[in-house]
Amino acid sequence: MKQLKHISVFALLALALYGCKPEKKDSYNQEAMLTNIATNVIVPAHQQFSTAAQALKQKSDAFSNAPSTQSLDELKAAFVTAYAAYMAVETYDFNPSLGVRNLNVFATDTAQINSNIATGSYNLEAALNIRAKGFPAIDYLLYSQDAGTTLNAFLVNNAANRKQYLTDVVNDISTVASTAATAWADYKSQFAAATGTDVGSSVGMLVNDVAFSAERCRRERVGNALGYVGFISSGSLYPYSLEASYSTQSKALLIANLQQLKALYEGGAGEGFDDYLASINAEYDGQPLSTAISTQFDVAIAKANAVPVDFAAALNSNKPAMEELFLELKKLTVMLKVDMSSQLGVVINYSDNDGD
Amino acid sequence: MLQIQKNTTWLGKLSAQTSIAPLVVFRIAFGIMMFAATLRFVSKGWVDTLFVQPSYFFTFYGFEWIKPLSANGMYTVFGIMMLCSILIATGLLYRVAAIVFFLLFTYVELIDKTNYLNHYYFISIMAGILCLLPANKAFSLDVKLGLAKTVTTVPTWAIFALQLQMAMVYFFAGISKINPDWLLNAMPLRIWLPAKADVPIIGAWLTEQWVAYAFCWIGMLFDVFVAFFLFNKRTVWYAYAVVVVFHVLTAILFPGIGMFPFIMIVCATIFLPAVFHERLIGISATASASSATTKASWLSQATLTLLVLHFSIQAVLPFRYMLYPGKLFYTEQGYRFSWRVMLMEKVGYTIFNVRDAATGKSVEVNNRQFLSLQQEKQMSTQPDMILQFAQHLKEVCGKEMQNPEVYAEAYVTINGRSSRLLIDPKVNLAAEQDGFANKKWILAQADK
Repeated sequence: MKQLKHISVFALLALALYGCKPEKKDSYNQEAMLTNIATNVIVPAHQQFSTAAQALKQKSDAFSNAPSTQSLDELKAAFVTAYAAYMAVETYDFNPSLGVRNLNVFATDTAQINSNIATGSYNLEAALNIRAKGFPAIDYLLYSQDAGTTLNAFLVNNAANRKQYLTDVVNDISTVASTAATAWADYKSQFAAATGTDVGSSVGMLVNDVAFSAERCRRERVGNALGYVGFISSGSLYPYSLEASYSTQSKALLIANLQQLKALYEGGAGEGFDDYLASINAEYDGQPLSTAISTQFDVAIAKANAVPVDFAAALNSNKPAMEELFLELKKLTVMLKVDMSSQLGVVINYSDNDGD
Repeated sequence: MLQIQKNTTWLGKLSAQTSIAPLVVFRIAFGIMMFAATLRFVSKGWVDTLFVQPSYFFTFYGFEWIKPLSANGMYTVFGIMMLCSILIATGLLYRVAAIVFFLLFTYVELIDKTNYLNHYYFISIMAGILCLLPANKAFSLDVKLGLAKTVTTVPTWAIFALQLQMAMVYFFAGISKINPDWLLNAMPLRIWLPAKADVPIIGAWLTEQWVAYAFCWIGMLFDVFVAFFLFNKRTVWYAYAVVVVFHVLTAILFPGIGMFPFIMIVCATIFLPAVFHERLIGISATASASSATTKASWLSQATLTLLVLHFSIQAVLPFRYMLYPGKLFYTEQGYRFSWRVMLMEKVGYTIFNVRDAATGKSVEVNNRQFLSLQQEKQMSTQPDMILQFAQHLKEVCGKEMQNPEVYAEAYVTINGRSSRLLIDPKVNLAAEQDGFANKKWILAQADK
């Protein structure tokens, strides 16, 4: 009897607590932020990339049908535009855009490309060819030699195979681009509805993607160029190579990527992560973290612009400018990967394990 | 004289006979739970990801000789652990099973610091204590098959040892929560709770700041005091109800802590009255328990000495951090093995540079070339692991280079503070040594 009385007291308390449950209140409206980011940043970026990829395909077909100095120049121009447009979507590793990042695995494997062209038999989907396709492969095919020699290669000897390879690589890019653009348009509402910050939530995935991109800018785009970054093989140090090394687009690509990242972070003109961070009063060295990150984006972009020429050339003439850029990118990466993720309670690089 | 008399009554109380039932129920529950936990571990594929795939392991200082076995070997270890947990539950070949389980479980935990969890440490200790207790002397296959004599009573200390260990876990977890971050800033719950706004019914409250504060204070009070109420016969049932509610709540809010809440709910039954346990397994011993003290054999004397030694170490271990300068949350010198749970939202990011002293050439390492995601994440926030990895890089590069230098730039944020450098990036970690001495290259030492 006594126990029963106590149980009923517990039950009453529980009911009372449930009764005075607060309304969905002043917590930050993630759904609104996600809707804005999808509508005004991610979907337009995918549409632009898709359009640029179709243009690339058109110019590539035109070039293959009639290789000439002029059609080569037009193709190169379309390549530069498409590569920059790609930089605006590389960040997103969501279901609809899976595989997009495979379009930019560098350094490209020139031996594999040459062997593919020579044999004429290959499967671009195969893991073996991950470094033999995408933008780095075209970078090699169109820019590794002077224009005359390049043009000649598409006219004599194995020209048919070479044209076919170029066509296949370009088709792969345009297919991935249009598939992702269509899929994202449909995915938008699902994306906005996946609130929270857990694994699988849109905020959780975006923060991971932003951290990935910032790290890639620091490490691979600039660190590789400076020879700062490398790998260890049988105890020796080897540097990695530069992005877009043949077309000398590395500086332009970095800036394109940073601008897109900033747009994502700020949600363009609407609600973004800066507003989210402001709503939880996150601080960084006594100032709001939200503005500290925006400022750091601007500093990094300014430092990138301050490098007068492409990174490949800047290494010899303007190394200090490159080093400054590297330091600012490091600061930015730390802020995004450490401070922002921690303040939002997002786990970076989640792996399935117990904690305590 | 008075002193001695007091001691004898205290000792007398502990060696007085009491019902074996709580110990037997504990044995069965522990065995079943360990079977489930081991099965879960294997089925999640963690044997593979944690012990087979990595090429490098962060061993504990002094236990560098502990190495993982091959894939088949590791699965066999887990298989034997499952078998032993069944033997423990059924009480067949109990002593052997308990000892083998304890040794294997502890071996697995010692392979890699990355996987350190307080509740794994807790299981190791409980299994270790069970090795010393006659938990198979009733309601067991050993008794049924005549491998052990039935008894209905055991010395009180046999039960008390398990209770005391539980109590220490709660109490030390509680006093570790008495720190400014937890009580005054509601950190890290202020970051973690709002992330759970989607949880049904209670979710809507979790974005409220006062709720984070309430959780922090209630959590602290619960941990510090619950054991006292569990020890008290008049309050034990209420205290146990609170234990259940508390741990179920943590299980809902923090699914990432895995089996821990359930382990505590099950283990806390050791505090429940003996009659309850007797009814469960259908034996009656309360009558014969009375005050009859049996003469302690040399074996039980030795056991008792071992337990006293164990608990003495347990009582001081959580305070060893005081021997080190600097902020504990940053340095983590003396952080493990102290029941500090859920105290930190700590995120780190560490960049390693290897420099060839002969040529001056230096490159930034890709940590993932050597470490799993989980290893890299754990390493990035813990200075001793950063040093270990630096030493590993030195070893790898030492094959070709005469004098490899290793530098680490580690950025860390704790409980919402701005990220800062954790260790001195100018110190060549290849030339430093691990040990219990203070690591002078950890920054955040001066400003205590």
